[in-house]
Amino acid sequence: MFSKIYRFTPPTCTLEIKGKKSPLSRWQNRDLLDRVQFKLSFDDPRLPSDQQIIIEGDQQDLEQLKMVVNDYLENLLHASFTHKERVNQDFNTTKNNPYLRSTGLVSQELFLGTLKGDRDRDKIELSTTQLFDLVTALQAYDTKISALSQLNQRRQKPSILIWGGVAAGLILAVGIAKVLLPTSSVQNIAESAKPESSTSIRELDRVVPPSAPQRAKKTLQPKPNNTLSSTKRLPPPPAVDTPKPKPNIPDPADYPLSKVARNSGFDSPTKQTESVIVIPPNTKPAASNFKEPKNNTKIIPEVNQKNEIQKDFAELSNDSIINSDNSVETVIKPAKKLSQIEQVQAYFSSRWQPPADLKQSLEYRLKLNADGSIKKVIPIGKAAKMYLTQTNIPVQREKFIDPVTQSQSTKIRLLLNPDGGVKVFTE
Amino acid sequence: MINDRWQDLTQPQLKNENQLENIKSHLDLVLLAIEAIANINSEAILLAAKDLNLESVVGDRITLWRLRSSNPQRKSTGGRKKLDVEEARSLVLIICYLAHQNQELLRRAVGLLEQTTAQNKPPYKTALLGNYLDNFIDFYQSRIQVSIEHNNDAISDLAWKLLIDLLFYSGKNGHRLLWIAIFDAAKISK
Repeated sequence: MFSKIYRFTPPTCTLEIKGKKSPLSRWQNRDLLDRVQFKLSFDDPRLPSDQQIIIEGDQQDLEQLKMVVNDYLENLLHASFTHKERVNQDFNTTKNNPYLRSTGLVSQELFLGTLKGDRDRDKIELSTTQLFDLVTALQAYDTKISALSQLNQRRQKPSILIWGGVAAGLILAVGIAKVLLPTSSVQNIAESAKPESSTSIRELDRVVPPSAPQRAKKTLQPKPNNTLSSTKRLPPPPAVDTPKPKPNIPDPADYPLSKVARNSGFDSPTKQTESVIVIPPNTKPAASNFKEPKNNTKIIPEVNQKNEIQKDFAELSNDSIINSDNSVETVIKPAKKLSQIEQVQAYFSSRWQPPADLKQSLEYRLKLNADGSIKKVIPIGKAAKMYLTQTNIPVQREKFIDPVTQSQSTKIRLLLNPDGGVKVFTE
Repeated sequence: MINDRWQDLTQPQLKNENQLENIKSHLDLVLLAIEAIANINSEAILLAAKDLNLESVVGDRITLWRLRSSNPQRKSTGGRKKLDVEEARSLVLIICYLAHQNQELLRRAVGLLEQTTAQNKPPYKTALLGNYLDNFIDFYQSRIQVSIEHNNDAISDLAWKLLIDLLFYSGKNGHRLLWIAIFDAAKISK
């Protein structure tokens, strides 16, 4: 038998799993570990070494610890939504089970119970980041165990021919293994060049959250085996034939909603206010329509909703004007004011000149004064900040749009596209 | 990987439409928090949807805006869209993907929160947390119907809690944690 060790090393703790494995396990189709022992070191480098606690136990203890941490975490997370204080559960302390308890916004205590470690302390204080690291380590352990058991299941596929053929070789191999392996020592595979275990360690290290820049600020030495090779971005998932796996989508009929959300429209088109006018991205945007806004012309943007288009056309036909020379203009109410959105749209459509090197849309939140001028411009995103001076947004209390009425919003969201398009929303 | 994560989000039974309303508002809040800390705009959200092959659900700004407007606590009443399970799942995956991308930032922010708390100093005095809080309060006040109990202190508390939650959502299992959290909260809130 030899030991196999897996080590999970987030920045503020180390979880070591040791298990026994028979050399015959490969032929026995067993990749699982026997007699699992764990060692959990709370070795945050910011702590003095005499405050760093180690706890050890068997697989059952580890499962219990996992359960305690998961229960606490679930409570913590949904408490944000229920607007209640985090409730510390009633703990059955008589059984001396471990439990976690909140002691503040960013602190909790882990009572060790039967897991009491080497320093005879019965509780450990954990900050939120330390708790996160513990969760990460336990999750990595879970993932490893699942991977091992899946590997085990795959290897249990019947292959009678193979078994028959190597039966004699097996007996020979057992004999050789027993002769060659030293009887008293245990092989620590974690550090060896064996592909599986070293791959495992590298793979596990990838789940460790990145911490190098932060830790550079701390004074203590880096931990061994801490090869954090994390990436900032998740790699894009492999392409799939369908965007969603069909079998797992519940039947909408089972769902309490009366309408499934495939209705891609507004709930009540007739109540559609003019506070939002949507311009579909596919159309050549406003630039072509609004190059020369005339005072007499109502600017009619396109909307997605078929009903809305029909409604607009109805308005158009009702508002034709017959001129003195009997020509008919399909112009609507020259005296009618443009809506707030339309005015902002019109303002920028003629003024927005996208810089040649601009590759992405720029988004801004505009806060308006009562007189319709701009009170504040908030760029959203780095690009928006960089290109702000090139957007021609009037920031010196210049005339912008008409004074804001009571029913109108004082907050506008402005999108300037690299193709010259302009989109406007109210907030 | 996206398929596995999608499969992780099985649909628990909801008892009534109120629970659905709660889910929408919770998801919107978490999205609001990640926007506030990481200066994420709708472009980044759509890019995340694209990376996750969720364009069919959240493909363009209009859909995104309508999904978020389905939060019944939002001020704007026009264009509200009912959120279905696929969309809830997509939003969960997108949120956790964005959180993971910004994990280092989140860790730094929570670390700062811990430091300032230990030093008994107001967290917003630090640049990172101050900006976050400003953004969060700004977004919250401009988008969400503010009722009497939602004073600035309450909104600040919520901001810090969500920041902490985001750190956990940035982990490998984050999507499961968020899914469970929103359904647990929905059940509790009735």
